[in-house]
Amino acid sequence: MCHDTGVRATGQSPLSAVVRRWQVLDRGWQATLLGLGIVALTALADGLPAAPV
Amino acid sequence: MTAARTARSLAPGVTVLVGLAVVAQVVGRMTPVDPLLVAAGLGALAGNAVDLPASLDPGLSLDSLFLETGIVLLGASVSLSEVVAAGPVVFGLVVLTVAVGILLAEFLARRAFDLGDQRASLLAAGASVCGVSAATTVAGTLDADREALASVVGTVLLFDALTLVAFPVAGDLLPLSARQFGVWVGLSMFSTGPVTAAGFAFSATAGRWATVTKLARNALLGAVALVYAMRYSGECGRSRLGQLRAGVPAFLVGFLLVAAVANLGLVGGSTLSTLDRISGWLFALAFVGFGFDVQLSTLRETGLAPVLVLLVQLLVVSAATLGAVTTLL
Repeated sequence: MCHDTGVRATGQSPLSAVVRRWQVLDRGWQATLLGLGIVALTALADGLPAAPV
Repeated sequence: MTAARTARSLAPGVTVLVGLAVVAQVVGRMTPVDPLLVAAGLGALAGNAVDLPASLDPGLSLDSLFLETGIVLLGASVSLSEVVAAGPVVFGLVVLTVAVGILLAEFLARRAFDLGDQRASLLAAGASVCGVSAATTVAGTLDADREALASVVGTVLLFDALTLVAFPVAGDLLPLSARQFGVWVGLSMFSTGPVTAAGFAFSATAGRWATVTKLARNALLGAVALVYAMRYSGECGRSRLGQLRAGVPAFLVGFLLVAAVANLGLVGGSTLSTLDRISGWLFALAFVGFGFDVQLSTLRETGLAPVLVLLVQLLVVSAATLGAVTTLL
């Protein structure tokens, strides 16, 4: 029985496809996406309730 | 290239950047010297003291991405109401400084030093808009030869290194407010990285004003490239709108988006202070990388004439803008 290993028929994983798309982006857009991602993650982390002690 | 292979190629250089950035932060806390200046100094020291293995190059070349991401995050700590209030004066100064700076550098390079049309235009764009990236963009527009571009890049980098030290020293000696100093360095210095570092070396407020002013200058790159394209070819291959759009740095969009999100109150105070710390670390990584770019061997090959052109341009522009910011702000 075959299982989905996450590797495409071309031998390229989805993560590698994302990395390739990232590498062809203009650096300014990379910085914009990275910055917005950091803002979103930081806001999300700050919004999470504190873990019970 | 697979994700794992990409990560492996970046790891050595990024590890060096992180290691030296940590050392810079520690030294910065133990001494009165700003950590960002220490970071640039450590990078320059390491880059010139030893022959670096090529395996470090991919990771070290991420310094520009770290700088631009740091600037995007800096948008969170910029008060748009303050910027809008000072906007017309600062933007007027930016447009005037860029226009006068270009004309002055063109005149000096062509008439006083006989450097040729291409080299004059590359020097003028680099000094007046945004350093190496402006020179490279205009070089593409003019189809300039590689030798001319390499000489201009070396000269601009030399001044980036010198002004990174000179402007914070001048800031300590002159009776300027944080806003005046920030706008002054944003108008006078050449490249975005050193402007940001010099501003933050004075104070956080000065750093924010320096970055905002410099971004306004950077935003004029499209217009400057368009004027050069029309001047040199009589017509432009690309549409005028396309030329203008291509010249505007994309990270400016991110900076404005983050500034809008923060100023609308969509993120809390603790998030803002975390973003401020992350931005500080990204700048530290970027300035270590900037230090590695300052190669003494390259600087020695730039020649005296381009150095003199930029020296006179810098002295005249920084004296005029100093008078303007102390009078108008």
